[in-house]
Amino acid sequence: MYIDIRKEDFQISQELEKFESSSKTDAAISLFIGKVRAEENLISLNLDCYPDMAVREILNIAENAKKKWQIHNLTVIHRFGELLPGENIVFVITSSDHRTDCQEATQYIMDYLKNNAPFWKKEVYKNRSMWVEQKQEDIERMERWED
Amino acid sequence: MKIKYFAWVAEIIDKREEEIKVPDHVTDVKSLINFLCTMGESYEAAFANRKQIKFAINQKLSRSNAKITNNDEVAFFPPMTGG
Repeated sequence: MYIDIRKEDFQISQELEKFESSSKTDAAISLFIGKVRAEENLISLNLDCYPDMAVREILNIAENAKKKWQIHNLTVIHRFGELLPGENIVFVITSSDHRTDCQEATQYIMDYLKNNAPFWKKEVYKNRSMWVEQKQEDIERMERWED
Repeated sequence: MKIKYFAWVAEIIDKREEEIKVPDHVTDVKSLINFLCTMGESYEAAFANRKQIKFAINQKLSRSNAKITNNDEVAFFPPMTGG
């Protein structure tokens, strides 16, 4: 398990290669990459973060995913700071013996991460900026996993 | 007690963190918020809509009646929007 909270960008191909080389015996890999939407007039997306808690909370989410599905390996990278349109925000990858385990685990991690990991997005436009509000739809997506 | 603020809570209070010695009657998050609101208008403004504020004690999401001491780290922030 590898969790990294960072300001710097990451290279998708490098991270994928690293993960793949440490998951050689797994038959299935599921990957999600979240990027800054290239919205009209958006200058940047500024992510505030509580790093110590973020590591702890993502570890907790990952541990719960491992209890629910047969996941052998997983990596979560989440950036914070000033991100430009098109840049990477988050990278979640899991591996397992069967596709359903890793596909569902990846979705589960993202659904919980959106609502429970301490990151806050602020959209910065030319003449204004606004904090993104939590969406009811995101809460419902997370709640569907509850037993 | 170390107190941290994030996102718009930090902007309104105009601080990211501070160290405060809280009085004895502050024993949980609810009483801490009441105490902070006596420290100035910016605190009152930040905590005006308490339903919009989440908090963590020692990096763990907590309830408002969770007990706290001067050795704890308490953080206040709006609902998360990561991912």
